[in-house]
Amino acid sequence: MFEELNNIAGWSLKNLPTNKMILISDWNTDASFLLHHFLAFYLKANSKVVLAHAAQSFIHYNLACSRLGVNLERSRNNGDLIALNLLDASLQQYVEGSCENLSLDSEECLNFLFGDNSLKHLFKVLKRCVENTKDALIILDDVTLFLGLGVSQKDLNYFVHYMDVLCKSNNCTFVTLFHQNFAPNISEPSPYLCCQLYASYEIEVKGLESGYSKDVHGVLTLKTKETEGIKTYQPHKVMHYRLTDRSLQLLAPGTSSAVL
Amino acid sequence: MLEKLLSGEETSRLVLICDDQFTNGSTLLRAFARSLIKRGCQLHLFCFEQHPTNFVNHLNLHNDSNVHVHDFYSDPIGWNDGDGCLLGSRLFDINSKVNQEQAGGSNTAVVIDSLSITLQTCESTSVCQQLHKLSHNQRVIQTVMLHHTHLHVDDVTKRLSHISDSVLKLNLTSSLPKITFSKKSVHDGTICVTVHRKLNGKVFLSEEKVEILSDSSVEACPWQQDPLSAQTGGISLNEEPDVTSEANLTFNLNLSVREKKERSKLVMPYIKASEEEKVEIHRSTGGGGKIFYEPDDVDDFDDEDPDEDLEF
Repeated sequence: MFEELNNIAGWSLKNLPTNKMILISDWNTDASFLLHHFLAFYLKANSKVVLAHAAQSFIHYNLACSRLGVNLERSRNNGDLIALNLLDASLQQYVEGSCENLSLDSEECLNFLFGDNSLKHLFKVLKRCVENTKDALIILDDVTLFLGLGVSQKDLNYFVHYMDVLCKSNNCTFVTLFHQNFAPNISEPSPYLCCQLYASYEIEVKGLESGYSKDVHGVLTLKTKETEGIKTYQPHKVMHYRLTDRSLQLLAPGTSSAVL
Repeated sequence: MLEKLLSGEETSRLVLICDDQFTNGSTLLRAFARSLIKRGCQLHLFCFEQHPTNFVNHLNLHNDSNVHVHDFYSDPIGWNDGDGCLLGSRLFDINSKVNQEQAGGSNTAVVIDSLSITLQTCESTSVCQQLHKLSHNQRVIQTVMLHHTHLHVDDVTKRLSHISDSVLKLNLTSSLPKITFSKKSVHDGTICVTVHRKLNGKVFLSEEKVEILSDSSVEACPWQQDPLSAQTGGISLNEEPDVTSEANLTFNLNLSVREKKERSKLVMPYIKASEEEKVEIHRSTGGGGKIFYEPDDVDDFDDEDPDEDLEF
């Protein structure tokens, strides 16, 4: 897991963000490395994790997390990790029209593709996974994909609302990824703004405005919601970051060794 | 105007609080709820966006017997196997809920947090109709509702503003990045633009700087945008640097009086050169000049006057 990110956000193995929604958003870049961070972070803290992956295969997450010191295969066998394979189930149901040899959970999730196009079933499966569990983490990778699979913006907004209800009632945390370069239908509330409304933290990742650099990979902004007061956010923490296989280096803007 | 609306000094049957991505209207909504309870109203709280317990806890009440909570947050469309309060015939049936639970008397107030999920589920016109009926319910003295303007198109906001007696719009004073060239920077706070329609038809507009105090009460004072910062979009350019900022330097940037006098006496090099040129020109126009010319070998020197054949 990325210690520097935890330090800046005030998180630790003994001080996990619970009862909250964390939104990871990116613009023309890929912020999925932060999902690996949360996977490793919560598994190291011995919390239960539910990984609903629709963008990548389980092997991808296993490889990424192994570099961060966590074995997802072992966690899955121990029962600490529940992996909902939305990627394979969606393909099989689309091509063959059936979901044989897949777990019942996955089949139920994907009813939305051919049913009423709502994420109600996915919500119910996630709810069932975290029942009677404390401090669990639900990771959904990623929420923008559903917009391309036939789910309307309105249904996605409802899903985000219900995930917020689930977090507050079951004391769990929901982490999801949103790609901002999705063009919303302006006649309905934007799902990104809806996610922002419910999220207590937002980690926004963008490329450098000046272009590609080998030493600095982009800009990471941590936005924390105010609990009291009339402003929505505390002052943003803007940092440059450099990502390697095993670590995330965070720098104050303009202090990279390539610049100084 | 904001404090008058909060205290009830100004009557307003329907109050609309508008916030956006950067401002949070929940605090102001809670301030209104607290004030209504203090005035002895039976408060009907309709929670759509926050958990009811969370909202009531933030009110910091000693006695919450006057608060009737309607939970529209936990299961608005029936995904949690509930009755789906926003679906079908139960479409935003706030009026009948208020009428049902009215124990007697006409001292009822309604607080709605917030309108977003209802506007998503139902047509904005039917929502406006319901709210208009609510505002004309004789038993309800005031309805206060929260609206997130950034989630909906402008038309929806305009419709809600049209049916409301008071519209409170929260803005940050500086939406631009903070670039300041002096210490006297533009104040980065929250302002509330209030448009209040009185019963006699007069419309009042006020802009006030809003602050939430440590005891969760609201303080508002008149605010006027600095005309210079209005032109420059919140950036102060022409102000002199503060003396105190230079006190932190290890070298002196200022000039003493003697140094200023000596500077004024100094003649610039370009001024000296131009004065000399002026003297040279003056001398050359005084008398005739002599030209000494020696022709080269290849020159065809002719002593004759070339203008001899001309008749002047």
